Amino acid sequence: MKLIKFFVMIVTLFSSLFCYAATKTEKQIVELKYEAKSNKPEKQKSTQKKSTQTGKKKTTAPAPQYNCKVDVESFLDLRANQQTLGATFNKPLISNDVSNWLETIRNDELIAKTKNWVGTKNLILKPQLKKLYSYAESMNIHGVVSMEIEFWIDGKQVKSIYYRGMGSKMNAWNALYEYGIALNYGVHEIAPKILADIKSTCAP
Amino acid sequence: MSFLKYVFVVLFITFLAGCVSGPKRTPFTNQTVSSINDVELYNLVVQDEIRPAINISNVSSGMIAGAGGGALPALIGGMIDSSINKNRVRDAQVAMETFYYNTEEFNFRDVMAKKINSSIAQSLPFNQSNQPAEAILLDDKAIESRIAKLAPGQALAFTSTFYSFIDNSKSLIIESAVFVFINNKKPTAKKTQPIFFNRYVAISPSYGNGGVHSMKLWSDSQSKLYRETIESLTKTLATLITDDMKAQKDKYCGKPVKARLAFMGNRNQAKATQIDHIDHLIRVQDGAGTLYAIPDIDVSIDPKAKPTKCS
Repeated sequence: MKLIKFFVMIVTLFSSLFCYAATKTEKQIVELKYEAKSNKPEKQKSTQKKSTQTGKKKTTAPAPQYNCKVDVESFLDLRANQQTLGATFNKPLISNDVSNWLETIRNDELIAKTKNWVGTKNLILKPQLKKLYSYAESMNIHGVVSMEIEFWIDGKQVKSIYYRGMGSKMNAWNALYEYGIALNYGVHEIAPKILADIKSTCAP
Repeated sequence: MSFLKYVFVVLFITFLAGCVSGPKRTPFTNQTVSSINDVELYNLVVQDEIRPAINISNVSSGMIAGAGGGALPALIGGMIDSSINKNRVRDAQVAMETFYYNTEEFNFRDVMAKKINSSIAQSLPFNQSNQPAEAILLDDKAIESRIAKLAPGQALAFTSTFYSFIDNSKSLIIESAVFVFINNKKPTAKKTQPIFFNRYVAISPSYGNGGVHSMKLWSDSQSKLYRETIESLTKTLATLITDDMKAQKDKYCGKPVKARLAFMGNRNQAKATQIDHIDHLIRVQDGAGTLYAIPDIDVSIDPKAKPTKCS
């Protein structure tokens, strides 16, 4: 019984701390730091190892060719609400570095993945951020990112595509960085779609 | 009860007790209203857009079921693996893609600001019809700081509004909490107590079979149904607020009924008092004093209830 009482005290203490963290009355600065989704290389199969060991040459597939030279303009921040990224339980989520975060996305997800492309068409991408917010819901944190990208080829707009991503993670500590991670997950959701659209636009 | 279950019940109760306690309903009195000659308004809408009806996560539905066998597996499940909820979110998100695209430019804050400004102006000395709705949630410190600057006769009206889909996306719900403060903090008190507080909830009729089918209806014709429903519900909500501020009543008189009310994204049958009709909805008050406007299909006569004495 003593053990139970002790455990109850510990649980009460931790839950009180959680509630204190959730209701502490300070402005919350979210340091946004974009990190691209990690692509861990798959383990080589044992059969491949054997073939290498026996001296067979590795064959690498030729890199696909896309008929574009891609230029990516800086993001336009067109959010109706540029003051906050939403709120936690009773605190606003404020960020001062959305533009740096967008610049990293532009470099890591758009420029880096198309920089070696050569082609006859000049594709210019004009990305616009429309919404960016995060919120806690029961035991989870969600991050929503919506953007529109205009595709311009040789000076003419050929299409404009709307992308929307929602990242979710468990609210482990109600820590501010977790809200940033949820937003990054939102970008991870749409980044492959954007790349696929660029590739289809630049198909030879 | 196993040891683990006991611990989680305590955690669950403590969490609720610590985080979900709020102020009690406080109606205006003749005295409090007549003491106000100028109102400063802070009309908060935290959300940038409507939330999908996906908040029936393992944990929250467990909480609503109450502490006990139903809550515990849900709570533990929620702690161990949030991927179930994540997948639900993703599915709902896919279904709503078109809807969000169609409503990308729709500004709920503008709609709400007009209604709240008008409502407060009808009830209190307030004449700023163009005041926008705010996005920054004020923390306790900021609210106390604003209250401390109020001169005698001045009041701070603080409203906070949330909106989402509910009932598997068949309905829309808009909820506002309204506080009015004057600079009357007691030296020993941690926080200033409001001289007026209540919650107001407006729920739309149901459209479609739920899920993707309903979302398609909300999205069709450049989301015409959604825009019209928001317009209508915000108008009803504003009327609820105006009428309640003017009424200066704690509890309303009416027919005892059972009504499908809303709590944490779920609809539940609860005892309530049916007051009257408001627009095409029925106005009811729950036991805590919260005023609802809900479709008549969600209200039924409570045969066991005793008739209330009306003064």
